[in-house]
Amino acid sequence: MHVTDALVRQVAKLARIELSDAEVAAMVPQLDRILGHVEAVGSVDAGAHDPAALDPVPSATLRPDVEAPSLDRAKDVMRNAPEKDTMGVFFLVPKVLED
Amino acid sequence: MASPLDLPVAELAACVADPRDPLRAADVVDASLRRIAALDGRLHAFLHVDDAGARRAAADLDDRVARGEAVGPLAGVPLAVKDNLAVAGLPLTCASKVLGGYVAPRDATVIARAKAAGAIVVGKTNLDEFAMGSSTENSAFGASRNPYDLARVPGGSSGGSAAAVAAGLVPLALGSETGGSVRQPASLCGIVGHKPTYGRVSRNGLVAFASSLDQVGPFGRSAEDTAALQRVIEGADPLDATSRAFPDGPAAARLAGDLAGLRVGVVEELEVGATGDPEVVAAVERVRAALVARGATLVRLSVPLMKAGIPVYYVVAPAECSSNLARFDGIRYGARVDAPELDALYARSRDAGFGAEVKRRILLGTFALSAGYADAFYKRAMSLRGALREQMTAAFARCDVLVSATSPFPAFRAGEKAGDPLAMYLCDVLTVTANLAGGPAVSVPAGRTRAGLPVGVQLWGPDGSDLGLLALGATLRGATGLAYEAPALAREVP
Repeated sequence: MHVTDALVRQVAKLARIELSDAEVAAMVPQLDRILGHVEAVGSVDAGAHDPAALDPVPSATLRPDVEAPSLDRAKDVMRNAPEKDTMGVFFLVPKVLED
Repeated sequence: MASPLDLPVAELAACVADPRDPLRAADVVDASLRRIAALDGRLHAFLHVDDAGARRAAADLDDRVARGEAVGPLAGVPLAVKDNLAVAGLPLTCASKVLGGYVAPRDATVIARAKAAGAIVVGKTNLDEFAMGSSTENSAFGASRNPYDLARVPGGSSGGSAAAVAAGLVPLALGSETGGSVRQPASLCGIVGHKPTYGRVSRNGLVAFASSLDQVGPFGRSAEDTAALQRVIEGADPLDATSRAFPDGPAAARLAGDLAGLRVGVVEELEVGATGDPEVVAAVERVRAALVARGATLVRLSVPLMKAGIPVYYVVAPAECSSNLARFDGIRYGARVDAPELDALYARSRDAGFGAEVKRRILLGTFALSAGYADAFYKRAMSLRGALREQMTAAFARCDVLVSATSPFPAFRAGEKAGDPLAMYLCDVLTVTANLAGGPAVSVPAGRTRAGLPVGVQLWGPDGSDLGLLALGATLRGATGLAYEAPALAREVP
């Protein structure tokens, strides 16, 4: 596995992070070295095992699907909004539909 | 009189809960806030100190005691909280610019339980951004320092919480673990830090990093203090589907019992060897010898997949991180960088908001999950994780507890590893496997190096044996005399 400038840019695009050219240049050798180490996952013998043992949420532990009070919209949720409408009930975002 | 902060937690809480005792919660909180004011300028353990809220909570508690009401087992005990746990009305930053200005709308389950038990939250502590790091240098708001040597790191990612307890600013603190973020700083700061069995403590209100590995854990100066906080925060929670109750089983009872006949596992893959510090190796040997002198037997064994611990961890954790941190998009909370269209708003907000290490892990995880690579990296790593868990079950059929070093070396100098991400990742080589396998593990003090730096020993038990492990920590202290020793700095303020 050889990490290239193009690979870093492609992965950054998938991750929705707009890296500067300087950040990409710094990231290439770092990710190359890290991936060189973690590539070992491909060369270790795992033997036989039960993948179901990894399920963190056995279905028996799920609680009943019952409606319950949630956060107060005006007081708790919108308070942390970066931008909201004048009434303070909607998040503002750039236009996503054409006229 | 010595400071009430220096009392064992159970004794401190019993005094505060007793209306005939002159010690009030207000005095205890005042003592904590005074120490923070005097010492934290040098340590930078705290990101936010809630003077007014802590004093108000203490006054309320004292009123309840005066009215004759029963209060909980942590009555009046000042508590420091890692700043990736929600405390209602306080900032919640994860030491990231992306959450600058965010105020938590409610308490995490562990906070609600600690408050109900009488604990007083005095502030939020520093961490590596989003708990990603092993030195607390990755904080967007400046690094924390080790109370035993201010030129060195406290470990991480819960370095602020560990430094606060070690410096005597608070008797108890909460941290979180994904790959060793409670045990490693506990080791580097000479205190006790516990990583509970996965599912034993609710993650509700903990900002998610890698959900299948994350677990909230307690810090204290002694195993007894740490167990007092563990008992309060643990238990099933309807708001975290992975949480459940763990009844005390025979494994825990065995660890809490006599040292005679205890089977102590020495795992070849957890031996520090030549790559680590010889003083750490010697400290571990001394602890094992003390156990053997009291009738324990050493069982030498191998858990071959532990060798793959770091590679497996650095696939699984970044993969889950890349998914969990997708929520920081500049829309509903956090920092926003404006752009004419939505995709650019996301990408610019995330570039400006996240620090270098967080971006590195998001990219690593995105890669490990991307088309063409997911089978070779993510699925393969998960398969190895399942196999590791089976090897651990087999290991615990042959022994009652594993005893190893927590960290291969004592606290390192600030800046020493900051330019080398992989060297920083290797700090966790002895701790990540417990997170991957899910079991409980605790770091307890095991003396100091000739230079005065603390060394920690890790005790790792079968799933659910948490309280037994902490009891063993206390027994071990009795057997070796190795306990928390306050740093010189802590003696400056009464």
